[in-house]
Amino acid sequence: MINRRTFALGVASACLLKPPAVLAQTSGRIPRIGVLGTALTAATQAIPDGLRNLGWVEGQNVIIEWRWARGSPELHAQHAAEFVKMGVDLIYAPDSAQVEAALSVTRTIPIVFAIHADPLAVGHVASLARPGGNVTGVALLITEMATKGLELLDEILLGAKRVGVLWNPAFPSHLAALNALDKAAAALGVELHRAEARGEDDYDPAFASLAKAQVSGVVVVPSTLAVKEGEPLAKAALKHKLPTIFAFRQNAERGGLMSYGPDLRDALRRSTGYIDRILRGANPAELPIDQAVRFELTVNLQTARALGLSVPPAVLARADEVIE
Amino acid sequence: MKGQPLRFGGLFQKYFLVLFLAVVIPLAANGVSDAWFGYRDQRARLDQLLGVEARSAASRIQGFLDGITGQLGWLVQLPWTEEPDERRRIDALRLLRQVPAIVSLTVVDGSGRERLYVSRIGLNRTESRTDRSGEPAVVGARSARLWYGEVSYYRGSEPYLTVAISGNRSSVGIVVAEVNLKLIWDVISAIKVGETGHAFVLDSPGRLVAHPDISLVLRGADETTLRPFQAARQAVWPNSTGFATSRDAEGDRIAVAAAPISGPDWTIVVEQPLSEAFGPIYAALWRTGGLLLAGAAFAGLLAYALARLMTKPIRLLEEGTERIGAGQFDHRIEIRTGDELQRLADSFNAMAAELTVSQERQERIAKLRRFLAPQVAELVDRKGDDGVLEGRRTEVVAVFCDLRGFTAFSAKAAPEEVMSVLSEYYEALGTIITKYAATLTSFSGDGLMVLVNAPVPVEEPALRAVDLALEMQQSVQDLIFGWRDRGHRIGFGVGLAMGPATVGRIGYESRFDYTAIGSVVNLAARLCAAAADREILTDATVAYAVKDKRSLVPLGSRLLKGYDEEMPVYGICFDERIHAA
Repeated sequence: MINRRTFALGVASACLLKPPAVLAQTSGRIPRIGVLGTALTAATQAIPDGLRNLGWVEGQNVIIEWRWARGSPELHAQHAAEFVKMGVDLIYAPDSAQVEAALSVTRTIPIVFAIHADPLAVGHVASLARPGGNVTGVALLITEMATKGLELLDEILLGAKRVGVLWNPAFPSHLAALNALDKAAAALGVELHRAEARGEDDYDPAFASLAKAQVSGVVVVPSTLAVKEGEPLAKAALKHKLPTIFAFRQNAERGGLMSYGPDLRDALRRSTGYIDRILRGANPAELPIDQAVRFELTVNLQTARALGLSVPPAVLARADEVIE
Repeated sequence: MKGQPLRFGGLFQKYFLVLFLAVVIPLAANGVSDAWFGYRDQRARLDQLLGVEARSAASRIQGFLDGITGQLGWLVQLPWTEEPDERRRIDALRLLRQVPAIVSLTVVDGSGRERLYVSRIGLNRTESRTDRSGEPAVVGARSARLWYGEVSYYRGSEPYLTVAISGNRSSVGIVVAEVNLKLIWDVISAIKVGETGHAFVLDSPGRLVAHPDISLVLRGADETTLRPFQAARQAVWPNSTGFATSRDAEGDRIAVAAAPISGPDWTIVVEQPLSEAFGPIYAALWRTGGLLLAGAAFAGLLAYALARLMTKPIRLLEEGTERIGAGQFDHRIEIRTGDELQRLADSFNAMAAELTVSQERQERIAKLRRFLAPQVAELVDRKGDDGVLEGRRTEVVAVFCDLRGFTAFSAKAAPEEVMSVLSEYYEALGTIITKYAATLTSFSGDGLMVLVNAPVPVEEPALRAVDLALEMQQSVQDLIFGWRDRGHRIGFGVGLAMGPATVGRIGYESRFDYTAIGSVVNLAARLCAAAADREILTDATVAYAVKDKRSLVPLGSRLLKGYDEEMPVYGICFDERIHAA
């Protein structure tokens, strides 16, 4: 009886408060995480914060290597190769471009994503319930967000005929989003015009071309780059007097008209849960993908006023946040 | 007691064992029965507790579901017309905002046609008018106000539940909601059973609907994942009498209890690791065990101490009697227990004191026997007065005797013969001296000195001395006769005188002799020296004392050595026994 009790107690306490140092103990060293970041944003702070809540303190029992690439896939691949050479225990590649870059250099080091659009469609995982490879994380249903964004824009614009789509070819998930948008546009009876933008310099010309196509509004296919460069994006949209809908609240806060989508920071925080479990020894192939379930609608009335647009009260009533 | 070896003999062991058992047995009986009843009580309590937890958890899950279905009711209050209902569309969209768990809403009118479809992630549809009246949700809601569907997995991973509600009349239509059960996570992870326990929900086919570890839920209908949970439900559900034990995913033993969630026909199972559930039981058992051990140790110590305490007087007695038996009569047994043992020790001490006295007495008698005849010695000692040997001045009769021609004989004869003669001589004389209770003060070679009237006064000392001398002469003459046959020429003469003398012991340390000092002693000695074979010579004093009783012959005056004048000498008539030739 004594043995069982002690054993059970030991296991119970181990489960409850197994120190993160267990990995250090078992492998004899402190684990390292390589982060493929787009750019340092306020949201990025969610990662070390989330890790600290789970017991991993940067510098004490875990080392984090940050690499910023501003959306350039080549740089991501370079950094990923660097990580592999360094022998990191885990690569953190929040969105699909970064996952793509990481997957190109390793199929064994665990890769965790946080804001992937649709890992199943892109082919990064075998199934949502059982990823089966070395990739897992939090999926944000970007494709669905883009289509709902189109629907909302349609609702606000009260029957638009032409709508523009701003997308970034560097992100593999954007292609899938484009396909879904085409189908949705057909269902809604709307004509779509596409414009590419790989970075800050492309926004103005892209909006200019969309304005020339006489679209009534623009759907921006979401990405972290779009969040980071939210201000120039919003400025460009305003300059060309185009109502734009984004996926992330941060874009609406930085001057976009509306956003409908999951909470970025919450997704990053949830992804740290995956980091925690993998560092404690879980197999990424067995960790199911966590999809977003909560979606927020944010409306920026300042931008609406600047655009001379009146947002229907029905929409305002459904908004989770109204920026006045 | 330092040098004493610890003797754990029979008595100590018996006492120790008895005392120890007397304490330990009740302790153990109490402890064991305590533990047993405590165990049963704890199990009953655990039963109750887990049952309560299960029911409480069930109600929380039901509350989650009721929260959703309650909100759905808003959409089935007003009747449908053929016109599109914009307000209801907005209501549906607002409902999506209010209830984050709802993924999509399908609102169907009285005839079962879809009028509205709003989705959180898919495109909305308005007035599609598709006939949905054959769908199980619609059919279900038509028969029962609230209908729960089976759990299905969206994209193989996320658990969705379909719920349908109808209103009070068919014209208000039916609303079918798809609920993403991932959002139950907030409720289920808040359910804590004790410190380390939690709950999970299984639907009726046994698939995991809710679990604090959401990745287990998101695995879908994965057999290996589900097995331990199904086993746990199996263990407790059919019987549903109290809690059961099972093993969790890691193989640890858990206590499980279950409660039904009647709406969707789910079961919520609460589990608590046995280590925590039985924690109080184990703690109580440990406590009892520890107390028992401590009690036994204490009992042992106490028994040891008490047994030692009790056997100490007995040991003292044992040791004391050994010592006294070995002759150490001054040893006293110290026991102050105030009971029978002390009295026993006291009587042993008294006995030892008496032994000491007796021993001293024996020594005194031994001392006296050197000089006195045994019966006299006895008498003296019985009177308890050994002052009898003290020096004093008294009237004594000194008797000297020795063998004539002994020196010549001893030169000629073999040593064995000499010793043989002497031993016969002394044996004979000794008997007589004893008989007359006279005191043999000294002897050397063949000469003896005997005192009468000292140290113990007698009646008519002169007469006694004369009779003594006579019998001595007779006895020795008999012996001489025998010796003559052996070829020895030996004679025997006796001299006695009476007068005052100083008597007492002289000598040093352990060599004391009792003797008389005075002219009477000299006189007796001279008279003996002057006596020929067969002669008994006395002085005037003795002669005067016995003249009427024994026959005397005056032998005139003789000049004796040491005396200036001649002394009158008398001879005692000695009847010769005729020895047959």
